[in-house]
Amino acid sequence: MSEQKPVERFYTLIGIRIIKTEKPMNRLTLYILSIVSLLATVPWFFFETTETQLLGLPCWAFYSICMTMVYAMVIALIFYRYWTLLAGSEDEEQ
Amino acid sequence: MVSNTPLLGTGGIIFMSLYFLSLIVIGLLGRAARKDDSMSDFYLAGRRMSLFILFLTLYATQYSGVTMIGYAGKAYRDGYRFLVSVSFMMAVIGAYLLYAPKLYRLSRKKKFITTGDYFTHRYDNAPLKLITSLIFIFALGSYILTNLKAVGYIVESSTGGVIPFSWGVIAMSLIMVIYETLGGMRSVAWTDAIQGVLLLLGCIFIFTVVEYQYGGLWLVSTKIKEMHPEFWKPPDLEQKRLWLSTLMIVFCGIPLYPHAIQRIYSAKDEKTLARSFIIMVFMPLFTTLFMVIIGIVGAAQFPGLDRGESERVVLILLSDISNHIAGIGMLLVLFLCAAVAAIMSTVDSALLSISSFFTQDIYRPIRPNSHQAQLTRMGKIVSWLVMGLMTYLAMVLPQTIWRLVEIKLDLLSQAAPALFLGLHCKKLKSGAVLAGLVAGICITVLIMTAHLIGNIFPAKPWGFHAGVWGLFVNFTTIGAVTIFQRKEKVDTSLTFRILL
Repeated sequence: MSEQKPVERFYTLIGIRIIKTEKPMNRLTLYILSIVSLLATVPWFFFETTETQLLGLPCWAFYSICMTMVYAMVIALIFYRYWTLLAGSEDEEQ
Repeated sequence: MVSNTPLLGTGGIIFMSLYFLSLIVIGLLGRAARKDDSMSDFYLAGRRMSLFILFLTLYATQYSGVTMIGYAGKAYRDGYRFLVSVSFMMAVIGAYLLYAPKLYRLSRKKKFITTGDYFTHRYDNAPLKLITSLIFIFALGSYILTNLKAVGYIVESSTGGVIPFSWGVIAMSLIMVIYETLGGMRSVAWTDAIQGVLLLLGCIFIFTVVEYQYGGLWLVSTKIKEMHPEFWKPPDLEQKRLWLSTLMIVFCGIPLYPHAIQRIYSAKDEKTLARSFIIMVFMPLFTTLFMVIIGIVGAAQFPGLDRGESERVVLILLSDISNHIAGIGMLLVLFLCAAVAAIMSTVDSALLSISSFFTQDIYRPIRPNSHQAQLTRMGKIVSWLVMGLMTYLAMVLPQTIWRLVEIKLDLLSQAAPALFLGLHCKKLKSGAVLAGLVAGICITVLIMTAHLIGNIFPAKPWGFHAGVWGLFVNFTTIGAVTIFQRKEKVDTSLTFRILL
């Protein structure tokens, strides 16, 4: 088994496997992914008050916290895997 | 009005005084560690900040006194809806993703010191640079003012009025300006490291004790449902729009604070910066979320507090707990130290940033032949002058003026298109950005003024902040002017061809 880096170990611990694909990621896709996951933290689809509680929270608040954690993981993963892509190449700066 | 009962005993006051003394010592150590008298060494710690220091200084700077005092109070009043604060504190790191990797490389290559250096390099447009600099100085100034006022009240409350508000402000300002001018960014970052640890420990310990004493959210939720049924209701459409608007304004505003950008310049290398952001993005779960939960627990345990009292909900909870658990009084000291630490780390960073702005962007162009040592000395003088002015204003500014300070984030966010688009759109011209910036500022100020003068407009038309409307107009203007410029270019070239 190859040696894992701290970020990879963290994601493995919470059950997420980082797959290294050959297909290069587009910078715009990463920006859209990060913004969509931020928008998903708003509890858009909750309208009715329910008695159900999850870990002492109303469903919509529980949803928001869960999506906030997902957002944090998405951002951390993008920083970890795609920093070089986000920084752009030397030619691009010229 | 401050109660005459001091929040801290003699032991607590001694502990706090030792903490303040340690900050001066760190300032001296920072001075001793300097490599040379250059601006880069003074304002960016020689661009050699390690992961540990960079993370803690970013953390301590991002979380101000508002986090420790204001967030629990706001959660007390708004309930679970204030969970938006957890998302928006993460959104700040998400926004760095749009510009930090590119800006870092550029800053290394072009030796940037301030945010203004980037604008000069990218646009070379004097009015654009002047307007953005004024926005940054206004935002930093109001940030310092609000935090100085908060620290004055904390000192007054902690000592039961023995040290009055104005003396508290003066003493804290003196401590900050001394260690800041001694070692510049190095001293500020090192003190931030201590302040960051205090802030994190304060949040974790207080949250743990509150959870232990009151049984956590499980038990609290039953009470909440009975006493505050409105907390249990999901936000309606307008509140969801407001939630979205808050995310947008913070996303475009807070990451643009010049002291945050200077920390990006200060990182040792790209790996260090990326790792700091990776850790930072999870911090709202241990800081903001904890304070929101404490506020909600407070609403269940001590209902009926008015706005002013609800701001003291953490203190009320801690005082109540200390009546039940012996030896918990130390937590009160930790909380007050963490609150003061959060404020100081924000003020010192903003002060350093203002000083660098004046020196690099205003003084240096006037005196281009000045040596690095002369510029650094000028920066220190500016720090003392600015701190003196801010201290005076914090003591005398009438309450009506404070309303203007509230719009700092709305105004600051108007500079976001210039930074974000400037880095990504190579063909973007400075004229379009300037037009967008002016239009955005005008709309923001117009909405705010119309609301303040005669309620012609609601403060947040259709649930969106004035700054968000400003941003919409800002981006639209940039797009429209760019299309117009391109069309004009095509028309001109066509005319040339016909003439030839």
